[in-house]
Amino acid sequence: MIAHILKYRLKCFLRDRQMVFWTLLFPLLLATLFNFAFANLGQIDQYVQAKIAVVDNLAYQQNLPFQSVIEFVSGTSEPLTTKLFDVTFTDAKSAQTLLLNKSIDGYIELNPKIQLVVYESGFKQTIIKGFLDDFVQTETVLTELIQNNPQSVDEDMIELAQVRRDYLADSSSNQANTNPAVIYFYSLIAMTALYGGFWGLRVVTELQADLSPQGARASIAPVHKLKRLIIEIVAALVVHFAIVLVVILYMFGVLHISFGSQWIYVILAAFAGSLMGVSFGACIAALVKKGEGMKIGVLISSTMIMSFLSGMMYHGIKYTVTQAIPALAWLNPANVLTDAFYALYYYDTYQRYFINLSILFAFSLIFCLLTYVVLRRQKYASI
Amino acid sequence: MVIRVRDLVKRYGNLTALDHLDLDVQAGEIFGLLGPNGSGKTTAIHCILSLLTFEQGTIDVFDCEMTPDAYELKQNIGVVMQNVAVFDELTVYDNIDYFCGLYISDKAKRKQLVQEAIDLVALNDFVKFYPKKLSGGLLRRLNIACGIAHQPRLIIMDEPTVAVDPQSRNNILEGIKKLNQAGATILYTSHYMEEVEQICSRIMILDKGRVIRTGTKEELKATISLGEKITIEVENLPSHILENIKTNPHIATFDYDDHVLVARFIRGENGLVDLLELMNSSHLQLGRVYSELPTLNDVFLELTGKELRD
Repeated sequence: MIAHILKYRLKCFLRDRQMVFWTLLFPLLLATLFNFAFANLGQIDQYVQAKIAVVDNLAYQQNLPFQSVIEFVSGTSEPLTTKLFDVTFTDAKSAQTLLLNKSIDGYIELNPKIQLVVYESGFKQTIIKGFLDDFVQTETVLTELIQNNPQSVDEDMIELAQVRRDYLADSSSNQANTNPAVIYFYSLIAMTALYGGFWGLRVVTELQADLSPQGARASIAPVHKLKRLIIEIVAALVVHFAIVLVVILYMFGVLHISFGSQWIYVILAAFAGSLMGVSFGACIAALVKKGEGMKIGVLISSTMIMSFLSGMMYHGIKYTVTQAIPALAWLNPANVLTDAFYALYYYDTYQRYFINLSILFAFSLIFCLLTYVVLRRQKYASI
Repeated sequence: MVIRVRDLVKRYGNLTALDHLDLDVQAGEIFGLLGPNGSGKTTAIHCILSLLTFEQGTIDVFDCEMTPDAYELKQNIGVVMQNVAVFDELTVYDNIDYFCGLYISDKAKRKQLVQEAIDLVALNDFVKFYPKKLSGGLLRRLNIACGIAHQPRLIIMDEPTVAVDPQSRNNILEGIKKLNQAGATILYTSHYMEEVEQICSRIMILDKGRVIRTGTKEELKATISLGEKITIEVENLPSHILENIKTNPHIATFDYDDHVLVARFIRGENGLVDLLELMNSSHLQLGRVYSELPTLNDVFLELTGKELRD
C-alpha cells in the first residue's frame, strides 16, 4: 500500500508541469539572471589601477628617489593588470589637457614640492593621494634622520623605512573565494526550498474532503489519514529535495557559485530546507481557511517576504535585520537556511551551521504537528 | 439492511438541509434518491459516508455504525462523487489502478479488477489517455471506474450522469445495471426522473430535505390522482368537441393550444378510444396521436406543486 501510493504520487508530482516550472525552472532562471546581474559584485575589492600623468620637468628630473618610486609602481617588469599606476610622462599643459579630457585620474607635478592635481574626487584619486602621502612621509623621516643623526643611518635602516608590512591579512579559513554575491544565491536557494510549500499545499488540498474532490475520495478510502499524509509528504519531499539539489548543482557547476568544500553538509542543508519548505506549505494549506487561491497567495507572499529579509533582493538587508531585530532573523526560515549555507561558506567550524539546521528541523516539526492537528478532524461542517 | 438512516437532521446555519430523514436500503436493490437541486440528496450521501457532521440521527451501514475511521466498512463501499475526482497527471489506467490500490493490495487481483472496470465503462480505447484529453462523457465514465473498480458490496453514486451526452449516459446506466446484477447494492441519486425510472427498483423522493414519498415507481405513480395523458395534433377543433371534452367526467384537465390537444385522464380511466371516436364523428383530420402514462415528474408535481427541474 505504501509503495503503491508513493509510486503514483511521485508520478503525479513529477508530471505536474506547472509546479515543476515554479519550483525548478523559475529558480534556475532567476539564478541565471542573478549571475548576469552580480557578475562584477565579487570583484569590488580586486586590484584597481589608476591612470596618472607625471610632469616631466626639471624638479622631477632632479628628484631621483621619486623617479625610482614612480618607475617601481609603473614598472614595465610587472604585468599591466598588477601595476598600481598606468603612467604617462608629459609636460604640464598636456597633463592638464589629459585631465580635462578625463584620460587620466590625476597628474603629479613637482614644483619642487610634490603636488597632485585632480579634476574630481573618487576612489582612484584617493589611491593616488595615499601613495603620495606615503612617499612624502617616508622621505621626510629619512631626510630628518640624515640631517639630525647621520651616524645612525645605515643601509638596513633605509631599507627598513621603505618596507611596508601588513600585520593583518584577509583570509578564508575554508579556502573559499569570498564573494558577497553568494548571499543572493543562498537566499535564492532558500526561496526554492520554501517553494516546496507548493507541494505541501497540494498534498493537503488533495487529502481534505472540503478542499477537493480527490480529498473527498481520499476520505472515504480505507486508509488512515495520518498514514496517507506521511506517505504523500515523503513523496513531495523526495521530489522537492531533488529539485533543490538540481538548483544547487546548477549554481555550482554552471554558474560557479562556491558552497565551500563540505558537500555532505551542503546536501544536508538542502534536505533540511526542502523538508521545511514542504511542511511549511502543508501547514499554510491546513491553517488558512479560505479557498485555494488565498492559500497560494499567502504562501507566495510569505515566501517572498522571508526571502527578501534573508537578502535575496539586497544582501545588506540580511545583516540589517540580524543587527536590528535578531529574533526576526531566527524566526525567518529562509534566513536560517541562507545562514546555514553562509556558515558553511565562511566558517571553518560547524557550530553556527548546526544551530541553523536544528532550527530548520524544529520549524519542520512544528509545521507538521500543526498540519496534523488541523487534519486529524475527519468530519466537516460543510463540503 | 445495507444502509439504515434514522431521524437524520443536518443544518447549514439556519437552513435545514435534511429534516428528520429516515432511509432504508436493502441488499441487492438499486435505490434511487430523486429530488431537484438543493433537495438534500448529496448532503444525505455525505452524511452516510461520514464526511459531514450532523445535528441528530443515526447511520448504520452493513448493520454497523458508520464512523470516519470505520475502515472495514469503507473497504466494502465504492463511491462515485458528483465532481470528477481523478488526477490529471495519471493516465486512465493509472487513475483506476491508483484508486483500486487503496482497497486492493494484491497486484494480480488488482490488475484483473482494473481491467474489468475498464471493460464495464468501455474505456478500452482510452487507457493511455490523460483525463484532459477525454470528453465529458468519457471523463464521467473514468470517474465511475475509479469508484467501483474494487467491486464493493455497496456503491453510492451521486448524480454520475450530470452533463453527459446521451450515448455515454446509456452506457453508464447499463454499467450500473451490470454492477447490480453482479451483486452490488446501489444507492443512486439524480434529478433526472427518466434515469431513476429506468434503473431503480425503489425510489425516495426528496424535497427541501424532507422525504416526500418512498416506493417502487409503480407504487409512487399509484399515489397520484392523474392517469394517462393523451396528446392529439388536430387543426381547428370545433367548439362543440371542446365542450364535449370539458364535460367528460374521466378527463381531469385538458388544454388546446397551437393545434395540439392535451387531455389528462383521471387515474384508472383509459379514454383514448372514446376520444378518437369523438374526433372521427366530426371527420377531423388528425396528425400525431400518442399516449403517455404518468411519470415521476407528475408524481413530484402533484405532491409538491412544482416541477422536478424547477
